[in-house]
Order: sequence, then C-alpha cells, then structure tokens
Amino acid sequence: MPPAPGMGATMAELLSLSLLAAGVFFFAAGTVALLRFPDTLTRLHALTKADNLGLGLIVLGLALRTTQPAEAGVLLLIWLLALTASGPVGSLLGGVAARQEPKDRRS
Amino acid sequence: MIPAWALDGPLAALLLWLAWRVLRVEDLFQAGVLFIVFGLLLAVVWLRLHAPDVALAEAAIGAGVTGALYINTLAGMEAHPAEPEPAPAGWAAASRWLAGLLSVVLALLMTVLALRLVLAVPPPVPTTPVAGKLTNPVTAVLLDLRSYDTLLETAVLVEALMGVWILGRPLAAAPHTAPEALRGLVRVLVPVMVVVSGALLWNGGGGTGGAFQAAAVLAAAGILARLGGHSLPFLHHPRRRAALAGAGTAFFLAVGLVLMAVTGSFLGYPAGGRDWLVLAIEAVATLSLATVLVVLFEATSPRQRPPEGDP
Repeated sequence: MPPAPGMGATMAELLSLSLLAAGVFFFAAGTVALLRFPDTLTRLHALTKADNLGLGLIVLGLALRTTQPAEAGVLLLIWLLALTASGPVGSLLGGVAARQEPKDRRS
Repeated sequence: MIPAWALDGPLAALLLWLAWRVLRVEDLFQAGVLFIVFGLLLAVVWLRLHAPDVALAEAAIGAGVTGALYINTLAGMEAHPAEPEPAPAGWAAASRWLAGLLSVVLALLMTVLALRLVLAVPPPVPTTPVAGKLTNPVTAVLLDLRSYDTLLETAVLVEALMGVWILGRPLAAAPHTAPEALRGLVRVLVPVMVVVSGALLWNGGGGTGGAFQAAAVLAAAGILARLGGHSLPFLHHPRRRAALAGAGTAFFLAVGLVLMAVTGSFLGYPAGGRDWLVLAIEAVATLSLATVLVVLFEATSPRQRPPEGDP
C-alpha cells in the first residue's frame, strides 16, 4: 500500500477493506455450508455462489490496493478464469450427484 | 503489522498434519484428495519461501498431474481389482529379496552422495540475481544449474514412462463423448492454457517459469482435452509418441555434446548464443515433457481395457 496522499486514498482503502471483509465473509459462509449442508447438490449450490462471489469481492478489494492497472487486470483475469471453470465443474459434479443420490435429493 | 510466524506457523503445522492424514487415512480416495490439498499447501509454502518457480512446479505437477494420476489409478483398481497372487517360491522369491536389497543399497548410496554434495558445496550465490527481488537459495541453485536441472527432469520423466510401458498398459483407443459442460470448458480453457504455457516458457529466460512449468500447464491442457473426448494425433501412434517423448532428452544431449566439441565443456554455451539455444532446448523439452505427462495420464486411465495390441 503506497502512503496515502489524501482523502481519495483513504476512501479507496476503506472501500478495499470492506470489500475484503465481505469476501472473507462469503468464503466463511461457503465453508460452513460445505460442512453443514446435507447432500452434494445443496453443498454445490452454496459453494459455487459463495466462492465466486467471495473471490470476486477479494479480487476487487485487492485491485483497489494496487497502483498499477496491469496488476488489477491480472487479478480480474484470475477471477474470470475461476468463474469460467467453476460453472461447468459445478454442473459436472451436480450431474454425477444427481445420478448417484437421487433419493437424498427428494427427501 | 502481523508477524510472519502467525501465518507460517499454522501453515507448517497444517502441512505436517495433512501429510500424516494422507498416510493414515483408511479410504484411498480421501487419501488422494488430501494428497492434492497437501500439494497445493506445499506450493503456498514455497511461495512464502520466495521460490515461485518451485511453487509453480509443485502446484502443477505435485498437486495437479500427480493427483490426476492417483485418482486414475484408484478408479482403475476399482474397475479391475487385482487377483491375489500365490506367494513366490524358489528363484522368484530370491530375486524379490535381491531386488529389495539392491533398492536399499541404492537408496543409501544416493543419500550419502546427496549429503556429500550438500556438505561440499558452499552456500549458493546466484550468478544471475533477479534484480530487486528476494531469491530463495533453491531458486538460486535452479537458476545456476538450470541446464542440468531441465536435462535431468526430462530424463527422469522418460524413465517413468518406460516403467509404465514395461507394465504394458495399453492406451485408450477411441475418443468418447463427454458431457456438454465439459466440452464447453475444454473449448474455453485449452487455448488459454496453451498461451499460458508459452508465456511460462518465454518467461523462463529471465524470471519465473521454464520448461518444466510450461510443460506442466501444457500437459494439463492435453489431459483436459482428452477428458473432453478429443483425440490427440500423436497419442495413438506408438512411434511418434515415443519419438516425441524422447525428443527433449535427445535434443538436449545432442546440443550439449556439440557444444562440448566446440567450446570444450558440456553445455558450455558460447557467449551471445546462450539465450536462443536455451530457448530452443526448453521449447523441445516442453513439448517432450508434456507428451510424457499426457501419456502417463492415459496409461493409468481406467477408461481403457486390458490387454490388446498397442503397447
């Protein structure tokens, strides 16, 4: 973090901190859901949303802390990549789960 | 400021605990998943030690590719459970003991040699310091002995592949139909991974990256393509496959020997020509290593049926 020259930097830091805190909250919520939810599909439901959102908030929070646009761009790319991968992976895992535990799902 | 140990302490403890769990857990699938998590955490530890090259290799090979091989093998074990063999008698039993004894002697010998090397070599001073960056001693050694490092990596992987070929597992023949979600993922990710691999190869000249890291990413792209039901042209042609797998080591040795004839020392690069030669060698090594890793994955894949034709 570069030394804050004025009000703008402080605002950016505050915004960044609250984004990071929100991101950590979503990660924590996703983890709790992973541990507590009863079957694969509900766990996936919680995990894909919490992780995508959590990672996105953390990436935004970190992007606000860098002074170089390129670094922020790389961070956003990482988020995009994670989003791209997690959608299909969630769908694949869900497909397997739906075939393997249909009874759990309906009860 | 939070002290470093507040992060590193729990990280180290978690790593040890995971290692213990991998060894002790009853369910082999759980052990496999724990092993992948262990590899990822180990990569974080290497990052904390300012050794991004090792971290990249660990994450890609240690956690990624090895994890895929492990899960593959497990699925294969479930599909074709091993039949109990009768206890070997006579010469067969004796040869097993002999092989075991040889392995122990070899392991001891290598330990002694490694210790002598560690004790004899003074702490490494990087001849090519990365400007303004903290450098881990491991990274410094890797940069200094870069050529030997890559040469031995290619040779070790070719040897692993030979081991698998000796076991005689045939490769999966026909491409299969994958779920649409997976095919979509392959279409998006494989081109990205190929570009990343090229960037790692190019970067290797001056910073983080190199043949091994580039090959790991390229191999992951190949494995993903295979899972998505694509056939890779080199994979089902035994000669081409073997040639590509061995090309890295062969090209490396050839360049080394030619350089020895010209400059007098093995891999003694002439002034000025070094960068392009290294890039050429590493480009060939990347293709070769990636081929070996993809073939290793295919050879352990449970989708294929034993034994017919294709060695």
